[in-house]
Amino acid sequence: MNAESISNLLRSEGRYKLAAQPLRVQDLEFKGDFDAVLEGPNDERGLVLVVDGTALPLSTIQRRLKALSSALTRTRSMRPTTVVLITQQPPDDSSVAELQALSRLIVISAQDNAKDCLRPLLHLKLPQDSKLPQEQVVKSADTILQEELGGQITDPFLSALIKAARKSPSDVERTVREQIDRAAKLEAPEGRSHD
Amino acid sequence: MIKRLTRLEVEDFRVFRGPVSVPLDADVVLIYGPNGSGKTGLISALEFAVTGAVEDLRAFSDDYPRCLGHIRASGKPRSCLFFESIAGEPLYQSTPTNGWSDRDVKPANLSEADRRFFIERRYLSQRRLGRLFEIYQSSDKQQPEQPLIRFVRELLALDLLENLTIGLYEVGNITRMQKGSRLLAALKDEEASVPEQRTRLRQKRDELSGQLKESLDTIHAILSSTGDRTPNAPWTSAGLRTRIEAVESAEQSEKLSGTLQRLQQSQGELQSALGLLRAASGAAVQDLGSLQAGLVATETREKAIEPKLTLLLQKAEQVLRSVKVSVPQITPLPDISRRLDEVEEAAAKALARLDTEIGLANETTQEMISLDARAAGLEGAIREGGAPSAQKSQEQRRRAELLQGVLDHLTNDICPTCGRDYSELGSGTLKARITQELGALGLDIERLESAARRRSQLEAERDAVSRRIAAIKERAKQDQSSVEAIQASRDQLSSLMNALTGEADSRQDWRRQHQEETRIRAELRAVEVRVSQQDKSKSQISHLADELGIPKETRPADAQALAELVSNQLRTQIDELERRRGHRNELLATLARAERTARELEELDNTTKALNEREQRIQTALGRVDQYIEKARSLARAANSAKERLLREVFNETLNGLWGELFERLVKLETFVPRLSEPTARRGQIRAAIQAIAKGTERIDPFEQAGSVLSAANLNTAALSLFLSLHLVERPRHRVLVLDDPIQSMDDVHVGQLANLLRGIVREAGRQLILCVHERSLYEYLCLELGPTREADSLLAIELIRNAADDGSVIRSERHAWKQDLVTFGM
Repeated sequence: MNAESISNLLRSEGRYKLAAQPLRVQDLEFKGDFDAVLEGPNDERGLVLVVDGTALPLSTIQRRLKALSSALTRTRSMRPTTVVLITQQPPDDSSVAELQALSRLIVISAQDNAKDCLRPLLHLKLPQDSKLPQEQVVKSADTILQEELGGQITDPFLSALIKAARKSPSDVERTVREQIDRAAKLEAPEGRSHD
Repeated sequence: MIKRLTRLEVEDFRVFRGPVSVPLDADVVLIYGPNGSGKTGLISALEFAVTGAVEDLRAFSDDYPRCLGHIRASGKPRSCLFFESIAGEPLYQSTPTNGWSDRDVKPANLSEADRRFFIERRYLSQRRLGRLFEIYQSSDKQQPEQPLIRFVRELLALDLLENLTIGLYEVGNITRMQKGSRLLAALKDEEASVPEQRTRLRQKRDELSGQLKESLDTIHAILSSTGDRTPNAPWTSAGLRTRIEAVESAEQSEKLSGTLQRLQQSQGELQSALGLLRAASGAAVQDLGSLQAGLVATETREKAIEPKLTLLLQKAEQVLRSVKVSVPQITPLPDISRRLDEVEEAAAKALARLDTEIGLANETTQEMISLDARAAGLEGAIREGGAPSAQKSQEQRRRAELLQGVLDHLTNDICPTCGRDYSELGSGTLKARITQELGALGLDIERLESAARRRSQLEAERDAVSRRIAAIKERAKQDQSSVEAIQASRDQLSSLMNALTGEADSRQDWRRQHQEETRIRAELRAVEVRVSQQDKSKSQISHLADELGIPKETRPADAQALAELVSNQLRTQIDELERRRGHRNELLATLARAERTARELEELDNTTKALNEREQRIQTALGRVDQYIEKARSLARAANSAKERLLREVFNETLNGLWGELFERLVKLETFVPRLSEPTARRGQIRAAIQAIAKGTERIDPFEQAGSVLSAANLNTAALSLFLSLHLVERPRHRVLVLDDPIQSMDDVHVGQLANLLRGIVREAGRQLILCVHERSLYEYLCLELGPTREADSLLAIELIRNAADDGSVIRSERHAWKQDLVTFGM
């Protein structure tokens, strides 16, 4: 795992573009400060700075990043910046905090799976992009219920039950009982009052 | 279908007073406001505009719309949402509260499915967020996934289907249904009882029909025996009455009854006459002759004795008159014997009275002698008492008074009268001596007074005896002549009594003869009556024979034989009449019984008809019940089927894959990822479990319960990622995602990861994100994280501020767009 492999991964699965070096902010040049500089994803202007920390002390990396951050702030740049730091061992928390105060930070240690670590920067694969046909629509419970009942629910009894079901099972039970009780009531014969 | 929200207009809605316009036309809309500033109110207005309801409030009460208005506003609250549809045209959706008639329109006309879809997949409300917190804070460590399952159910509206399945459990079985519906149970019971009622009615009908036939057979038999005179009359109640009247009308029956009554009376008379005839026949005439002869003999003997007794009576009356004894004239002559008895009784009484008077005279003489002796004795006693002692008594009393006067003034033993000193005498004190003397004087005075009283008593008694003696002597002198006269009368009466006693036998003989005469005369009168009755009976029998039309030449001479003939004739006629009357009565009674039976049959038929009608109504009602039960069952089946479909369609491998992907983006250091199992049917219920699988392994068997391997915090994240997965998993109906303050207890790492994921959803999935937060620092952080990174991006930062008058919230919005910076690459 090195800066080049990280760059390649970000290019292939993150849709980032490798930017030509040196990186300049207005008239300030950051030549050789970062092992790789990428821009993206796609046409976005986010910056990803890949730094191989195995050969550099963290203080150097902090200093270079601070310089870049100051330049971006001074020029009122809105670019989000992410540093991908490659290390042998995970840095201590205070060092991480100092770096995170300057930029987003992704630390990749020797024992880490680089892809897992870089996942936030990788392209979000959505099903409809590749697998779901465009016409497929996942239907809601109401829609499926209507389909199961054969179309729009127009029966007042069924509508009342569905309305009750939005509250609780006991409301459904009560609605059924009330309707059954009404139906079970004998109609009065002609010319007589109800039983 | 909504592509992008552009503007929300609210008026008097919740905390917003008056009309307020909220711009929404940006890729990301960040809404910030402290608690109570109206974030949720704004999101509710948005939901209300889209769906016409606010689900979170509806859960509390159906009439929640009255809570939507601003508390100080008089008008109705309004919410109007402007948006672009996926087809590209600008639309708006306006939803008033109930009764807002002038604006009660929904021009965008979203379908019910579109509205439900917005609720289920595009909007994570506070209530659902509350479910997330339930997951996070679940105290049930044994089953921490239960809140997650509840969240899933609510997210997919499975509650609707499950409530239907559970609530309609009763309709699956008619016995359960009957337990729930009292009326249905009663109806079923009544239905079950109908066959038994019908059998009872049929049995009763058979019984009554048998009774009716029996009655008609009886009538037929009687009419056949008496002769049916109207054979063509119908066998109805009226027809039968006609037949009975034809046999014998009521008038005839009445006449027949009169004749029968008369004949029965005649029969009674005949029996009486016959009895008399039998009793008086034969001996009566013979008795009459002997009695008359006996009477003559008795009268002759009486007359022989009568002169002697008459003479005795005259003599006795004379004696009685002479001694001034009156005899009441009680017994009239010629009962001379009785008269003599009365005279004898009067003489005996007078004799006894005279004896009494003589005895009294003798007693007076004896009393006078006794009184003389008494008087002499009293005189002697007075003389023995001596002269009167009243004077001596007075003297002694005076002496006692003097001594008492001395005693009252005594102060020592020196006598005030004699001057002697009694102390010197040695015989007690002077006072004691005087007191002793007074006691002796008192006894003497009492004795003297007692003797005086005794003498007075003896003298009074002597005077009384003397007066009594004088009175007796005076009376004895006057009665001396009367006593002599009494003695003379007594002698006369005594002589008369002897004469009466001497004629006792004659008197007794006359009395016997007289009694015999009296008896014979009574018997004579009785025999004469019997002979008269015998004649009368013969006349009656003859008269009855005339009435019965027995020819005179055929009548026997003997009265008794004639009576027997008449009696037989009467019996025959009565029997015939009673037979005819019996037939009529039986006919009428049988007919009445038949009519009664017919009426009961008619009532029975009516009851049967009513039972049939009621059964019909029961069947109709049960038919209605069956229809409803069948509808309910079809709904239960549809709910179950819908649940299965929903679970199968939603929780497929695509969703599980996406769910795992999002979960991993939010939770970096988790070994397991959640997934939903294949739905299974058990006891008619569709179930699906939330499982956990080991990440990056080929392990096939998942953990059946995610809660057993995921922490509560990660279960919470699993729920949030599931919502986002459901949102992303299909072709979008609405390209908008609304999250109401979802970040409330996440650490910075999780917040950063969520922001990253949301940015991906906006950028990659092309969703418009509406996001509310309540912390300013978070708001500012998200403004940067979700801010524009290219020319086409936009972000609206909206801040809700409570105005000073606390009259509502106002909106301050700021649009963020990409600005070209000074960053360049390469040489």
